[in-house]
Amino acid sequence: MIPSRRSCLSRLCCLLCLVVFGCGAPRAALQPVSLPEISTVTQPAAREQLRDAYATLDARLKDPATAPAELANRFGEMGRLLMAAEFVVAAEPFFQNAEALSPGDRRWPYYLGHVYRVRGDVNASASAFERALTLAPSDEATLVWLGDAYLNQGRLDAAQTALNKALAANPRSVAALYRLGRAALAEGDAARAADDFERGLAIDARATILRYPLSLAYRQLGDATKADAQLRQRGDFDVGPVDPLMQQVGGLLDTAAVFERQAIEASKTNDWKSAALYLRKAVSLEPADASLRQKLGTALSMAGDNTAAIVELQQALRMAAASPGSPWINDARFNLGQLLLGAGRADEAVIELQRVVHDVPGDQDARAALARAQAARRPR
Amino acid sequence: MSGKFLQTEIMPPGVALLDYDNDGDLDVFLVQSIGGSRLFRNDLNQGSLHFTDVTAESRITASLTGGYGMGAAVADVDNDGCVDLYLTYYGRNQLWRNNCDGTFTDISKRAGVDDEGWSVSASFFDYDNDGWPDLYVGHYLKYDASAGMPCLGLSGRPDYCLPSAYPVEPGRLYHNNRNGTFTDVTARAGITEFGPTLGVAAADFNNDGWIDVYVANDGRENQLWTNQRDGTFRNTALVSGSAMPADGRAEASMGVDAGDADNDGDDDLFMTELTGQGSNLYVNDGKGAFEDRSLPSGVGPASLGLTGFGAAWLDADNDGRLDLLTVNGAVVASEPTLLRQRKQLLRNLGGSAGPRFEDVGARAGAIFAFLEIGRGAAFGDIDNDGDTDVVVANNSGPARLLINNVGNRKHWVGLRVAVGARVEILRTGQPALWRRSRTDGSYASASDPRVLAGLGDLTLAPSVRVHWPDGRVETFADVPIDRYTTLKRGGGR
Repeated sequence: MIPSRRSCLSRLCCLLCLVVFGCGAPRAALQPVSLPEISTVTQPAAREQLRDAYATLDARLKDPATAPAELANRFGEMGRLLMAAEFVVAAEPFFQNAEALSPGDRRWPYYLGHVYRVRGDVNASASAFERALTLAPSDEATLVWLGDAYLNQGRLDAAQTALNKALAANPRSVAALYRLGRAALAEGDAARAADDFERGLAIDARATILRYPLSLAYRQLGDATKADAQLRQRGDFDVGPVDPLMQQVGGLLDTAAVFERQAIEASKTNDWKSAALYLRKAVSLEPADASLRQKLGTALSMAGDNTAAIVELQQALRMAAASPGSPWINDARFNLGQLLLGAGRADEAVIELQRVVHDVPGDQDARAALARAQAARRPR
Repeated sequence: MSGKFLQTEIMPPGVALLDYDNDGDLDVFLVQSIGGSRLFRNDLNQGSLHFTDVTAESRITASLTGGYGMGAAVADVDNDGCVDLYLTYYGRNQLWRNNCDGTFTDISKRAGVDDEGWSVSASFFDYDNDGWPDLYVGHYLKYDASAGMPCLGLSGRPDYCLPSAYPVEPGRLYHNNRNGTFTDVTARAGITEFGPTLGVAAADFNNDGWIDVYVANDGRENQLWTNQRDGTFRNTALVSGSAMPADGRAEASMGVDAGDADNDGDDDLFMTELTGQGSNLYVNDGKGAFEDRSLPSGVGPASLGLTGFGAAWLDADNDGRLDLLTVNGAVVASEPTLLRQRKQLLRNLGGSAGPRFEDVGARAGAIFAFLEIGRGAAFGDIDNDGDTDVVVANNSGPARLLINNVGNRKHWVGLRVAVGARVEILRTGQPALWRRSRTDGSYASASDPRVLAGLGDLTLAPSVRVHWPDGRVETFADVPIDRYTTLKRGGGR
């Protein structure tokens, strides 16, 4: 697109723009945008973030002195926040404008690729990831998601090319191997598929999502024993590409749900300290949520802070007394009982564990723990 | 939709096609969640396609009993020659016996099939080959609408929950006692695994002469209950490759149908999924093992942007190949523009390496571009002109009747055979076409039991080999084309 006087406010700006980014679209060519209906966003902090970002964008948009790159950043930031808040339709024009204003910034077509991916528009997604790739030709995440889009288009050759490049960029990319295996399976090359899946599992055995397709590959190869063994280990643990841009989006919103999700991610790598920190933030935003406190208590105990864990679990159980049907209550009581026993508070432990045994008479772990607690109780 | 994000309100409604008055044309039963479902009589025999609301005179008071209507299944459960109607609910299911005089009687309790809970799709099929239709009722979730709390997204926006937010409700298999009652044989039959079921399709997937049942689950592995020929079943979905797509992710299967997509004599599976997942095509090897051909067939890529519900194999253009039609609509309320979706028609192009499909919705009529919240879909020749029409049941919108004006430009053969019978249509100089009489499949809906097979430009009367449900095989020579013919057991050679 040819830059206009309106888009480049001064010769310097225009020169800078051309040198650094290539000059973006004139403002007149931008997509109309509006803040979607956010009254349904119940988390005040998230609502404020969305409102503030839009107000900042609006102010910059009205200011003719705003440089295209700055405006692109504001559009992109708004798009990222909307994406984080799961407004995937509303986010699209913001990213389109960011890309139009700053066509040299790979983030915007990359995020657009994800917006279209979530909406199931595989052609637009592939096209956006292709544009992002021209700006970062060896980025693993872009290559994996582009390969994924090609797979979903049924373009197996193109998918394999992109995914092999991803593997060249990161030879330990389980995400690339998983998709290469799928492409091979779709082509009917079960031997190659099995090899790809096995390589992926050798790198990261947690990636149980690979085991079902691996079982299909072995069955096609006539090896029922291996196929059945893989079936028994199947699961849904997925390993995505190294994807810092999407990780940023995942952490943008200050909401309890986001912090809880981050805690879950941290716990997957046994980083219980971080998990506890995220859950503490979540609890600070939703102090009345007993299940969050229970999760915080569990994370704290896993991180080794038993004293703090006991406090949180006791608080969670007090709060849950109002809604006794909560499915986690007996687990929390069991954990609390164990922690109290470990802290030498056997009397209190007995009380908690007795409650578990009362509610779940068949819980053998609880019965054994109760016996230990009773044995440890000081004689009165 | 109420704005309260009640899980129950996003799932219905279904629709049934049934010739309740035995006048030779298909009548329509439209499920309504509240306010009373409706039975419409097809008055085609009076000269033109026209429907009359006969709900009151039929005495069907469905949905007036406190339940929240979901779907419908049909079968002649007492073999009296009149088709009966089974209705699924969030609440207590109902079996309406057709009195053969234009009226129905609620025999749910006496028949023992007044399931309580939440069921959406059900299928009548004769699993023990005794000539009496048995019943599988797929159940969905244990959900208490009165305590219903919306789920919150990452920004705290309320929305409908994922099925994983609730416990699964077990489905039920009922054996027909041949006296107007049924017995719950679920446990005895070995059916012990359940998912949140939304679709059910029964067919003889391994070609052993015994009907199996495929259960499509929302967000969990699907099940293929293979008939062990002794009144029990075994779930062979995982070993057969039909539990989930080849990527190993259990998807949100909704509608499902079984049909012979590649004309090789076995039933292939098609099921609809969520936006971003794409529909799935599992091609049968004839022995009940499946290959996921969603990607190479084009079915998956073409449907990624849609959340599919009602679906069926149908020969939309009577060229002898089974095409696919889906009705679609999302299940998230957070962005209303995504909720309403177009219908999709995928034309089967054939192919030596397996069937390939192309989306021909854009040239199939303006209705295919019309955005609605599609749920149930029933398929059948409503105007008896030799092609498959469709009734679409929309959520929060009017039903649609899609009349096919393309198929009848080609020749066809129409057959009335016992439900469950498989037919081979033997064409001179061409491979046989395999079709099956069934009413189940799709989503919460019941379809035309007649077999309608497109013959393309062939004008020679084909022979038809019928594989009756009891295993007997008979051939009927020179079956006339471009009309319906009734084939009775013992009438062939």
